[in-house]
Order: sequence, then C-alpha cells, then structure tokens
Amino acid sequence: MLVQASGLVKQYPRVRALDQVSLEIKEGEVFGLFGPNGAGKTTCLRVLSGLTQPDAGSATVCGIDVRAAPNEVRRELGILIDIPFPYEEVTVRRYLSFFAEMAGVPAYDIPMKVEWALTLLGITHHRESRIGKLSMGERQRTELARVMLGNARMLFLDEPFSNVDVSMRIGLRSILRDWVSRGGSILFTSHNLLESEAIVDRYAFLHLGRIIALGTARELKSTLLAPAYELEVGDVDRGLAALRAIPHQSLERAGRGLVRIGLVSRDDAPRIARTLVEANVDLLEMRSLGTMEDVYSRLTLPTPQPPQGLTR
Amino acid sequence: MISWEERLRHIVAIVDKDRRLPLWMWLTTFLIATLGFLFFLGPALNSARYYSQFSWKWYDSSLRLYYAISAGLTSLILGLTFARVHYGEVHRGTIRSIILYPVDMNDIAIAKLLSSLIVAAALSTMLFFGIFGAFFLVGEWPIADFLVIHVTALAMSFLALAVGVFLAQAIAHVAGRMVVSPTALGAIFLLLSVLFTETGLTAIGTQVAYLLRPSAGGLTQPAYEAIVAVAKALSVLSPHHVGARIVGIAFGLTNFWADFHVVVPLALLVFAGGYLLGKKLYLDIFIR
Repeated sequence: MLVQASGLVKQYPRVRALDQVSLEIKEGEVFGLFGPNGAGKTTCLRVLSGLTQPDAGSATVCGIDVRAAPNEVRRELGILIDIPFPYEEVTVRRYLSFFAEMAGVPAYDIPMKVEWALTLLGITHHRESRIGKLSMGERQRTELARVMLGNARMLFLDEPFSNVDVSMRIGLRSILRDWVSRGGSILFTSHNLLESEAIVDRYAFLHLGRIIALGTARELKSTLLAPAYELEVGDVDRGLAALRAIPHQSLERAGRGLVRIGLVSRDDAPRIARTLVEANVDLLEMRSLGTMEDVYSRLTLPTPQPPQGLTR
Repeated sequence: MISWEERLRHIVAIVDKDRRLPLWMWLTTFLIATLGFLFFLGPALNSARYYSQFSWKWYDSSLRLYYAISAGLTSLILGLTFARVHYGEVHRGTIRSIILYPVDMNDIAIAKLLSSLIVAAALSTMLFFGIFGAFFLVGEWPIADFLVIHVTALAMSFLALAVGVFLAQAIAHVAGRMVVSPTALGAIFLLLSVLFTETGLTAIGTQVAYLLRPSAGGLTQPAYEAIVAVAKALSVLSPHHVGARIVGIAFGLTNFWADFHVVVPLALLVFAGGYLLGKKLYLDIFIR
C-alpha cells in the first residue's frame, strides 16, 4: 500500500475538516477523492502530504509516517495544488529547472528532464516565455510538467484538468495512465466526475469531513443506483408495450426512437434484449444510464434527484 | 530523515533563484550610487585640495558617524531585500509552490536570509561606493578601513535580522500561527539594533528628557549623565554597538571589551530555540 490512513481527524476552530477518515491506496492505482466544496478534500491532501498536522489518527505515505516525518513525505510526492501561484517573472525553462533541483533531480540531468517534461506537456514552444504571459491552460500544463519532473512515487493532483482544453485533457489522461502503468499511484481530486470515470480506479466521497462511500465506479453504481438503460429501438410504441412485462420502476419515451427503462433489479437486464427480440422490435443500441455524477448526487444532495428518478 | 546534503541543495536552489534581481533594481541602485558619487565629488576634490597635507586619522566621533551611516544603509537594504524574498513570496503566494517539496521552516528561513544577505551585500556596497567613492578616488579616505566598517555593519545587521526571523518562528510555534511575520520581526530587530546603540539611545533619551522637562531651559548635567549611563547599560543589547566596538578596537581607538557577552549568547539562544521549534512547525502556517 502506498497510502494507509486511519482515523484522521482535523479540527479547525469552526469546522471539523476531517472526521475519522480512513483510506488505502495501492500501487498502480488512481484514487479519486470527491465531494462538494468544503468537504475536506484539500485538507486530506495537505495532511497526507505532511503540510497540515492532523489532530488524531495516523497515516503512512510511501512507507513514511506523516506525523513522524511530515517534510520527508514530500520527497516521494509530486503535488499539484488547486490554485497554483507560479513565479510569473521567470521563463518556463527556468521555472522547471528550479523545481527539478528542488525535486532532487541531479544537476547534469536537469536540462534533459526539463526538455522531456516540456515535450510531454506540449509546451516546448513556450520554453523561453515568461509564465506571467501564458494563458491559464498553458500555466496548468506548466504546473503539470513541474509535478512530472521529479522522481515521485505518487502524485497528489488537486483539480489537474481545470483550465485545460479537451484535446489536452485526453492527452493528459493518457500521460497519467502511462505513469500509473509504470507503478506510480495518483490521488486525484476533481469536480468533474464524468471526466474522472476515464481515469479513476477507485473513488472516495467526502462529505462534511467524512468518507461516506468508497469503492470502484461499478461497486458504487450497483450499490447506490438502480439499473437504468436507454434503448434505441425500431418502434417505440411496440417497444414500450413489450418492456412492460419486465419489473420496472420507470418506463418512458425519451425522444425519437428512444426508450428509457429503470429496472427494479440488475438481474433483469439481460431480459431487455430478449423481450424486444421476442416482440419483434429492433434493438439498435442499449446504453447503461447512471453516471458517477448520479452517485454523487445520491450521496451528497439532501433531496437526491437522479435523472431517471431511479434510486434504491 | 532529510540529509544535510539534500537540505543544502534545496537552500542553494532557493538562494540561486532569489539572488536574481530584476534589471530595474540594479539600474536604480546604480543610478542612486552614481548620483551620490557626483554629489560628493566636489566636496571630495575640495577636501583633497585643502587637507592633502594631513593624513587620515580615526577618532571616536568620526568612527561613530561613519559606522552609523553604514549601519543605517545596510539595515535598510537588508530589511528591504528580506521583505522582497520572504514576505514577497508569502504575499504573492509563490511560497505555496516551494513548500510542496521536502523542505522545512528552517531551510526556508536560512535560504531567505542567505539570499537577502547576498543581494544586500551587492546593493549596499554599490551605494557605499557611490556615497564615499569620491573620497576614496581622490585618496582622502582609507578605503580598507571604510570597507571594514561596512562589512562589520552588514554582518551585525544580518545578525539582528536573523534573530528576528528565528524569534518569529519560535513565537509561531508557541502561538500555533504566524502571529508576527519573520519579515516584520526582522525589521523591528534591525531598527532596534540601530536605536539601541549608545549614540542612538543617548539621542532618543535626551529628546525625551527635553520634551518632558518640568520647566523651560536645557537639560541639567546630572540628567544628561544619567541618560548616557542608561544608554551605555542598554547598548550591550545592540549588535551594532558590538560591531562599532570591534572596529574601534581594531583601529586602536579603545581598549574596552567588545561587549559581545550579551548579544552573542542571546542570539545563540534565539537561534537554537527558533531552529528547534521551527523544525516542528507544519508548513501550512504559510497558507492558513
């Protein structure tokens, strides 16, 4: 395990930012920490990176006890904070060289490493640009280059894809996936749950400082959401009539050629295609509904409103 | 455990970053130094013409004057450069990037102190030569003696600043938050080290006594002597008093003890306390 945290508590004067938080992150895993603003995500990252002292509980990161050696922990980490404050007056190359030095990259290796990071993040043309002149997206890429420079075993990324355009996001996801495939791990926070599904292996949902759900996307969806599907059929009326035979919570027309069905039990899913075939209705496409956003709503909103009205 | 080599590498990296001043700062300093040089060139040439038959001799009064100028200059420049590299980073938020690496509070304090010392040494020496350079050029004043004064004043200003910085760390640990910033406390100590010299305290004491005097008229001799006695007693707290004494002894002006029996132990105590308590500080103290 790269991260083992048990019973972490952080109390601020007016709010309990972390309340008995326990989690484990394995090697080669992308672990997503999600929750509304003020849920305790950033505090959790700070405690695990040795920047903030926990009031109770214990945690080891890469085998280092964060309470015993809070500053040493960061040698093993590449940390991206949600709102970076880079040195605006220096060039990208100097900025990265400085942080490569801070990350312990040997002096003779720094120019090569910097060049590698610039190429990886697609900002070679900004090598000699001052950071203050870069757009927000380019700054974010520079920050990611900074994080990737060191010899970190684990990345703590707070909102890594903010201000980055779609094509770059796709590229970044593949960079991070590649990094993980080489044995690294990522602790990842984001507000974009839909996007996170492409990269996160396991989720923890924080609410008011507590972990209220933990598991893979599949586990969480099957636990918290009723199975719902959107079907593209040849004849909607006949399709609706046939599907009434399957136990369901909801069944409705969802547009031209589309039907939405919310089942009572996931075990009934195979019956959908069979029933439509028996009724001689063409099934053109069948998509599973229910995203991690629905899981999030289910967990954190006072009156959950999943799109299909399907909750257990 | 973070090794000394690793800590040193971090400190050197931060110093290397901070010592790079924007061009306008160098140009402004150079301009002020040049104007100072031109301003004093006339008096220096006159002095060379009329007093060339006399060789330079140090007196207690002249040493006090030139040491005071150096102390004021180095304190001002050192305070400003430390504010730029330390408070400036905290204020702009860039310190948040540095603390993401395996550094502790002491590494940051030491690095910032060293970088401000390097920058202040460069800038203040430039100004020093700007102010006094004309007299050196015409051969009126002994350049080596003046450099000794300047370097001693710089070292003593640095000592005062460092005490303030490490004391701020100790206070932050006790209070649980940055009650007073290292820059602010460093600046206070820089100011106090100038004010707490014998000359400084006597000047302040006489002004206060004059304002508080019961009736019209000047200060009485016993009152003045009492002020001087108090100033002498308190001046042992000032690094600049120690610095001036050391220079006075070096120039053969006095046989008095250099008075570092108070300043040095106190400074060492603050450094040790600040360092040990600083090691325990969590770095979110910069962002809380």
